[in-house]
Amino acid sequence: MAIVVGLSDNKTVMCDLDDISFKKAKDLAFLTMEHFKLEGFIILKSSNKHYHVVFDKPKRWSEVISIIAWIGIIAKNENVWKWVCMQAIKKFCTLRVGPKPDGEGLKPSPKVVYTYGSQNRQIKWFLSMRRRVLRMVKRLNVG
Amino acid sequence: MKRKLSEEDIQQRDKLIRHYAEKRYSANQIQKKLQENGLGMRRKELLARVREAKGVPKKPKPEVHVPIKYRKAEKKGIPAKWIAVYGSVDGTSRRIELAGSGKQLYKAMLDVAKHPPKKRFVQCSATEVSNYLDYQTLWDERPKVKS
Repeated sequence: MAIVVGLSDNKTVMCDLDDISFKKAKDLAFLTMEHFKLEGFIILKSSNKHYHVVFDKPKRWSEVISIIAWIGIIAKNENVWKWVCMQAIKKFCTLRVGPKPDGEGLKPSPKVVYTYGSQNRQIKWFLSMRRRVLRMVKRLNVG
Repeated sequence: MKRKLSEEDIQQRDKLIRHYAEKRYSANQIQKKLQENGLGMRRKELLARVREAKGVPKKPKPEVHVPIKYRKAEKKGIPAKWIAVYGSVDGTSRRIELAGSGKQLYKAMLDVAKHPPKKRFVQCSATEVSNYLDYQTLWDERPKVKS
């Protein structure tokens, strides 16, 4: 496998939480949702102790970057800071959707493990795009 | 119950509308006068006739005056979907972000899956992807990249 496929958007608040327990990821997602009135979220498990969070309410890019920077500070996690800096450079948030090589093995594509609140806007977009991309990756046999 | 107007009544009504419009009556006053004669009509149609009689020009952008929630959704072509494809070439990461419809993205992915972009970071439409790919190079077999 030579490439990794992800989804990019600058209106969706999403975050990559690395080296973090599920409980902490969930608490962080709840705290962020309540603080910024983001209406709902989903948590995807990328691998052991690695989670992705996608929030439902669309925001402007300036707000998105401010929210994910806030998450980075609250999480007190260097990996999250690095991820936030990368997104700020690209001016887009990207989360992996397809599988990814990890050492000698392969990290599977992230799976939804928890959902809460409204799921009709950005989450609906994210999940439908994720399904399409995964179908594409499977057909092309790149993942 | 509504009475169906005869041809004569309709002609009479049009005459009255023109007459009152010339006298600079407002649409509400004209409607009252018509109703007194048993010749009332829908306000929307009356307003159109009054404007015609008064010679009021049509507004250039009528949709601007419609409240946002009643405006019909504008078709802006195919909604953009961004897919990020990343990997590495000789240990250096390269990334390409593609936008387009499902079919366009699938076609673009056939090439992108094999060949990396010429630059380290490229953002383009799925239809123009061939202009940005380096067809002489292949992706590394096992990339070490971060999202």
